[in-house]
Amino acid sequence: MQRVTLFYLIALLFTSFSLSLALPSSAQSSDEFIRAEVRNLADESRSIRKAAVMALAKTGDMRVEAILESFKLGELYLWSDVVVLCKETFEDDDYNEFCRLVDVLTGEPMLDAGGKRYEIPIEELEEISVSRAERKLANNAKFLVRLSSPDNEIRMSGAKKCGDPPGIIESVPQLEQMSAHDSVKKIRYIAKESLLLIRLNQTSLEKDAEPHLAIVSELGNMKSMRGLPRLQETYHELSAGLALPEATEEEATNTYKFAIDQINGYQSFVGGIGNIFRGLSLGSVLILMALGLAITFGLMGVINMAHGELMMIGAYATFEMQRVFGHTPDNPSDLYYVAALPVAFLTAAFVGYLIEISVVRHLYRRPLESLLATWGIGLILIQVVRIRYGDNIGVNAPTWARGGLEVMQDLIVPYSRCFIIVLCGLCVLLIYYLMNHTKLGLRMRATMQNRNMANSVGVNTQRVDRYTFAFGSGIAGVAGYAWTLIGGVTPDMGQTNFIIDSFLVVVTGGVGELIGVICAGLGIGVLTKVIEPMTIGPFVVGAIWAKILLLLIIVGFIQFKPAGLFSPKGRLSDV
Amino acid sequence: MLRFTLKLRGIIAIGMLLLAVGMFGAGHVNAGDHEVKIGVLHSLSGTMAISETSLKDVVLMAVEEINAAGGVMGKQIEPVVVDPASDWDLFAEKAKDLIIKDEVATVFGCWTSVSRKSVLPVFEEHNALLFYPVQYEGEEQSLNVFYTAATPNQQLVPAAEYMMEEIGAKKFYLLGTDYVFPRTANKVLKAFLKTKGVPDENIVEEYTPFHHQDYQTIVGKIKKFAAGGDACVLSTINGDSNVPFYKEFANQGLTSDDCPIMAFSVAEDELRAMDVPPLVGHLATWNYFQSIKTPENKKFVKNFKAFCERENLPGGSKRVTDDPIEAAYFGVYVWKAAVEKAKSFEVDKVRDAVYGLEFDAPGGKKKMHANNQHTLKPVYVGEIMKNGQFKIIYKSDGLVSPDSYSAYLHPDGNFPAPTGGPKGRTTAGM
Repeated sequence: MQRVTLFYLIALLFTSFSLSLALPSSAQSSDEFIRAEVRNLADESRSIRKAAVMALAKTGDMRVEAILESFKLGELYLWSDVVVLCKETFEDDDYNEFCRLVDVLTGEPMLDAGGKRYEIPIEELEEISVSRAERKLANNAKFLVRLSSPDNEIRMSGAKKCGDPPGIIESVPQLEQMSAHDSVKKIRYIAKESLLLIRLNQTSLEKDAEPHLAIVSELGNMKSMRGLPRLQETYHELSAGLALPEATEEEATNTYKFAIDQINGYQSFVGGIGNIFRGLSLGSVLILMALGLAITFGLMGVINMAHGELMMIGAYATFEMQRVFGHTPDNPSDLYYVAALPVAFLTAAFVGYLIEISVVRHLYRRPLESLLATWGIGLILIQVVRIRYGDNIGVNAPTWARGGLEVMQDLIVPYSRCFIIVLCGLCVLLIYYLMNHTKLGLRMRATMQNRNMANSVGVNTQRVDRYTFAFGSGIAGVAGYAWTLIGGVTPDMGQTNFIIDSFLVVVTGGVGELIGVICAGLGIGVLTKVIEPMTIGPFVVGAIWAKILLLLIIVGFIQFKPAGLFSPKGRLSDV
Repeated sequence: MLRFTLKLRGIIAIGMLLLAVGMFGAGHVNAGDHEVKIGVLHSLSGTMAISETSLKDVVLMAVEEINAAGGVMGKQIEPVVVDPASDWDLFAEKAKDLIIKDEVATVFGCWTSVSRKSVLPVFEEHNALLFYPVQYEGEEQSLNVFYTAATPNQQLVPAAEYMMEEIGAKKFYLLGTDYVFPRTANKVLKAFLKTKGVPDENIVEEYTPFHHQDYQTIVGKIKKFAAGGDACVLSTINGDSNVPFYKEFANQGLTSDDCPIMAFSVAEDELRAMDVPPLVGHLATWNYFQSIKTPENKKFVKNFKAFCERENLPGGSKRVTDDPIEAAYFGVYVWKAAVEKAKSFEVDKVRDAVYGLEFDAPGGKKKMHANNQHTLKPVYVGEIMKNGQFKIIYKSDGLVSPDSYSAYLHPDGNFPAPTGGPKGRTTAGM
């Protein structure tokens, strides 16, 4: 069975490869032809210009897209009967404006016989002015060109745009071909969808009802989300009353209604699954934020207001690694993100260690003082980072964390969010293992439960305190590291984004219990994402009210269960 | 001997103190015959520091340039920089200090509307002058403020027009952060779209709290809304929420072809803090872009980078210019030109001199309005490129005249009278 699948996969890969290789060469047309048509773009006659745009589009040559874009933006000029590209001008000391000419097709600088760049006074260039209609035409033509691209993404966007209203009729033959033979299933689907949408526009309900309704049911069968708005529009017109024979009207109404219900049914099914995924994803972010705090606050009882800043340090450590590896969007080196994980953990852990030995260890069992002291430390950390980095820095996601996986039609799961869910799971497992299956974990638990007893059986409780605090801080650093995939990085991100949510999760879950953090994180995440898209009558809940409602729910919950979901047993509950 | 000197010193000190009090009580005494003080009122700490610090930097650069060229009417400018720390009550206090204690000739400052509203009574009470450099929601016209950035009809309305006519958008998702600028901006936009015949069901309006980070649900909604292929987002999302929004948008498979986002609060300076690839192809509308290709602008950009490097500011030569930075910069020059035209530092005379003033800004020729306190500016639409800069894809024909009160919010044409002004006038509407 497996072998068959493998064989099938290889065969598929092979065909797609050969097909994508075959496509551009067959579509490529000679440079002379393109140059001749480009010259026609500067013609006096409007109809010749229009014909030239369409002729260029049909070449399927990928270089044409850039030419059409320049044409649209008015960057093309006529100079001694040749169409040239001029993107930039410069001035000499006497304020005369000059243009450095660029070849339209190759994008290379144009050189004269002596090998020097042409630098032409702007007055000698004749501007090719473009009307709004021509800009639109050129834009459509751009999508037509994309249909021949060897790149799947570009080909797909072309197929999609050709079908978007009002639809590009010239694309029909190519879309037909793509819907049957394209190597990528998703593109076949989109090409077919676009084709149907164009035909839907061409066949009117009044004149040829039968083919029109066939298209409608086809779109319904495809559960086409793109078709939905148009079907609904016509359906509203239908119910408002169109001049149709009665029999047709009834049939049309039924067909439309059935198709719309089909699509809506599928969409709400997918939407439901999507909401659950979003809830899980938000939940895992919350758990990751709260895990470190569950250790420093939950186990050790330190109200650590600098927790958010420790996460911020993890995020900035990631930024620093990006800099060390020289990662930029143009020149990606994805390894930086792998290397950043231990660095973020260790940096935050080290800072946590310093906080513990300098301040926190003097303040055990004095919660109010530790609250104020750690808050002050947080402020210091914010300002130190602000002075060192300034406010505006950006972490570029590694290439593998861009985009998402379409798990089923119309349900895309972003890779970055999947990564965070997995990372969160690993962190939970790590903490569980460390706490329950290692000597260090045993000593930690012993110290937290009864310090004096632990001391008397030979545990160095001070050292355990230091390690525990550093470990919790390190986990906070990991949360900051993961955050860079989905959010922004600023010096005060800890205060604005993290600290409140973290405490919310830990307090709701029950101070001191790992399982409480997990349940509370997931619960709050899923609840938020279920409440947010809800509509109550004409009122849409939305992000603002979702937050308010959620806080109300938690306040109510704490009233009835002040110790949280899982209240700790034994001595800890007295603290 | 020793005792005597001490006594003497004491007497001298008391004498000087009395003198100082006397001078202070007497009021108008210049900071020195060769100097004139101006106030710089931008947050250098707190949440708004991220945006406002750059404006402080560029004002200081303009001052340095002017001083090097001989100052204003033979006087060197002495900037008094204060930090209102993103706290709007502190804005009013610091403004009062600048006006009363430091006796500055004018103030350059504020970013958020709430900070401007907080200092407005102070400026009107003392008939002082403020140059305000950030695009805002309009609906205000104080004779004590010159607004050097855009009003809604210089940014929002042209942008919506562009989306309808050039992109062919028919459905509009108005998404913003929940505070006064997005709320008013969307009111204007909605009124405009309705006059253009866009039906109610094709307009969605939605707000998120400040610092909102989880855009999964909203992007899901936009995806459904934009499925038909003729929708766009008009975004007034502010500050750090932009990063997760654009990331989520791209990660859920939406591109600028499927549904372009037109942003009103994303400029070059904000792009420095973003992971740019998810934003490529999306749009923004401003009255200035760093990528404007005039020699004046190239010089301005070069000077700003050099200034930041020389002064050891964070970012150094990687710093960029943008719309508010340009507006803050030419504000100083507008004031200088007006002072020289009026041949006086007096607020009432300077104000009259500003009206109708034409001047060269880095982004090209501009003009102050003849009476409504705002600035005539060109409108540009830019497309975000991979390098964090904008490709200019649309430019208005000539300068667009500012409306301090939007015609879309006052369809009857009854605009409130300007507030503030010379002492003795009643301050209406406050």
